Amino acid sequence: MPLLEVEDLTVSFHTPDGIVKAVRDVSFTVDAGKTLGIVGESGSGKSVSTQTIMGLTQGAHISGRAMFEGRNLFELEPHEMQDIRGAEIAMIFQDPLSSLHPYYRVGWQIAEMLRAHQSSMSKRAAHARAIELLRLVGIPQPDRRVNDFPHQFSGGMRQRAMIAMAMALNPKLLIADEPTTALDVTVQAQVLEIMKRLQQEFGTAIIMITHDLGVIAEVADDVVVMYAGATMEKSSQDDIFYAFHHPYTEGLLESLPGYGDERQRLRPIKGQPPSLINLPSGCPYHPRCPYVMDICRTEDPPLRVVPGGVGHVSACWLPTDRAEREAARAQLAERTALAAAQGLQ
Amino acid sequence: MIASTAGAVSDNDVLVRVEHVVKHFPVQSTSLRKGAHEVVHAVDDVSLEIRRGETVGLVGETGCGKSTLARCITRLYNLTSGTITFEGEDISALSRRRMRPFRRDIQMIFQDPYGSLNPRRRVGSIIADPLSIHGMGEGKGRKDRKLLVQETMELVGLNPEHYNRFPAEFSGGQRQRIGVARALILRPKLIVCDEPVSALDVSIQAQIVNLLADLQKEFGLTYVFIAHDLSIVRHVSDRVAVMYLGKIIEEAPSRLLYNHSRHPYARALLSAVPVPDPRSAQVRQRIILVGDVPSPIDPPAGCRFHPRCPKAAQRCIDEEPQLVARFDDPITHETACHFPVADGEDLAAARPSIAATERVTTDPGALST
Repeated sequence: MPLLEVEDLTVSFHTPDGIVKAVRDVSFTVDAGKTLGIVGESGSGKSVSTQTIMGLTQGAHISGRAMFEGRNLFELEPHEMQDIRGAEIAMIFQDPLSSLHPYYRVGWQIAEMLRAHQSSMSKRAAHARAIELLRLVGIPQPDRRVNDFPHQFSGGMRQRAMIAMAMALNPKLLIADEPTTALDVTVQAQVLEIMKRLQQEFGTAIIMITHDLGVIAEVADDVVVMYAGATMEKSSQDDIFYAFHHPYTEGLLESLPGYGDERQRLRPIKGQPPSLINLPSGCPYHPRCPYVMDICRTEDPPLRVVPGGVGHVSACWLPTDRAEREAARAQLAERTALAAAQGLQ
Repeated sequence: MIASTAGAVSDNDVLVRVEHVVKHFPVQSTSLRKGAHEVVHAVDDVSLEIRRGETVGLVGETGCGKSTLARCITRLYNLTSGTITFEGEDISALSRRRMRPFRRDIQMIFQDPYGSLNPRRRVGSIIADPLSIHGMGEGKGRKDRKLLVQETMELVGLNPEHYNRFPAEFSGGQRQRIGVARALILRPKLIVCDEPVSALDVSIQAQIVNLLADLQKEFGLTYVFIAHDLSIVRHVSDRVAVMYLGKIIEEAPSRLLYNHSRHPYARALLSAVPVPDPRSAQVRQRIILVGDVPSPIDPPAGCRFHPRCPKAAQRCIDEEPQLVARFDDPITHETACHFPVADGEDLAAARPSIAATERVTTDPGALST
């Protein structure tokens, strides 16, 4: 049984401008000890879906289920959820400075978190455990640094302190929402390394939310690609990079600078992501897709199984058979290029 | 690229020459330590040549001084010492008023497409700002001015009919195009791009990078390109300078830097970049640096990287390495390191030969990789 099983999650917000459909029918599972990568651009719904699982989206209209160890998180009483949050499922965010309270010492904040969940723990024991946790995440001289304030920590150290806090109660699932986006690459490498090591040591499952396919390539076992609140493609890490089906996945990979020697022109995805209030008809990606067909404009493609992979599904009308698909792609891309050339004249 | 012919660069090819530029920021002294004047050594003795039509990339971690250097070049900051020459003229000490004619030629694009545009003004007037500042297109020329703004909007891929809209009506990528249009409207010679794509989504980043490349070709622009994303910098730059704690520690044509970096820091920095390719990510050797960048208030003696360097030796503490060509590198490839890394050398196996007290410490149990 998977540790977390999210089924048909739909989240919308009612605003004066209309209903924002932030997440639409998203399903995924996370197995114990594994890392699920969720990749997408801003507004793709990647953060909203995980925040909803944690019960952090107030005022949202939620439907679907999130089964965590056999219990539906959406049906729990607030106090039950409070016991799970932090202890069973922990979360780290992009910006460690705004996640730590500037007035309290780092060690105090970690100790407080321990004592909130384990009321029997003495202050002294919690303090000692905080030092131990800081050591675990590679903070130098943890017995001294435990008494520092957050501003005395560098960005990388703060994120490590956040990880220490998240790991304090040995959670079964860690949700990391863009944990390294604000960090320099060298520090990012340190932090990813620590997360990998902790995962090996404690068997924690991780949901890694990121816009960076480089991070996905580094840590993810399985990958969900999201766009405009919906799942575009879901597969193993290998298939996303080497046997992708969805044109959006292809677009994301193509728009990155290559690592070959020559300086080619980048191939961006044309246009802008759609408004979540007025989604395009049919496939949400069709206005930007180079392979758009008539059916894409009217009918939203369901997730279909792509043969050859393990659990590989894609929401695209292109043929699922690889050879047929490549042929269709070539043909459609040619047609799009032709149409673009005519448009210019 | 300028790989082999460089060295004999005539003065005419050099658009900007940065010589021994130093920028220190005084630290507000607390009442207890009045009198003790501490300074942040943001940029310390940096020299750099920027040639016409090329793109020079500046990379380094937060606080390495790359943005400060860029702002010194555009004279948004006054220098502590050193000189900056633009087209042969020393602009490092010009007054505001005498600097103004040069401002036409030197423009800047900023990171934050939200913060750098006034939300209460219409896009057309934002883009026309440089024209009014420089007294162009006033009075009778007003009509031409609107035409010029609309023409520039079209150049950067904006719809000229959106002249009267407010910034809030544009997406992040489009706002960055507005920033580009504003920088471009005076047809400058040099554009300093400070993290121009960092705040944008991947698919939009590529659009802006391509736009900048097209404009460079069309107008013969020279760029100084700052970004923390090293793969983008490699993509756009002819030459790249790597900075660490206020110093350039390595400078080379980008192909050489990315494939044959000599400085241990440059190599570690490059090896830390996540590669969107799981198969090569697995086989790639990573050098994970220990500790954090030391304080720029009191930078380490000698080579500033020595406390974190896997190859550090006593000489690195005693003597500051010069930025010169090492091994048989072309003279365009300069490295400031006493013990440069050879091709194929295993940096991960290197062990420093200096006392542990000189090193940045970290718990031995953690981060042994």
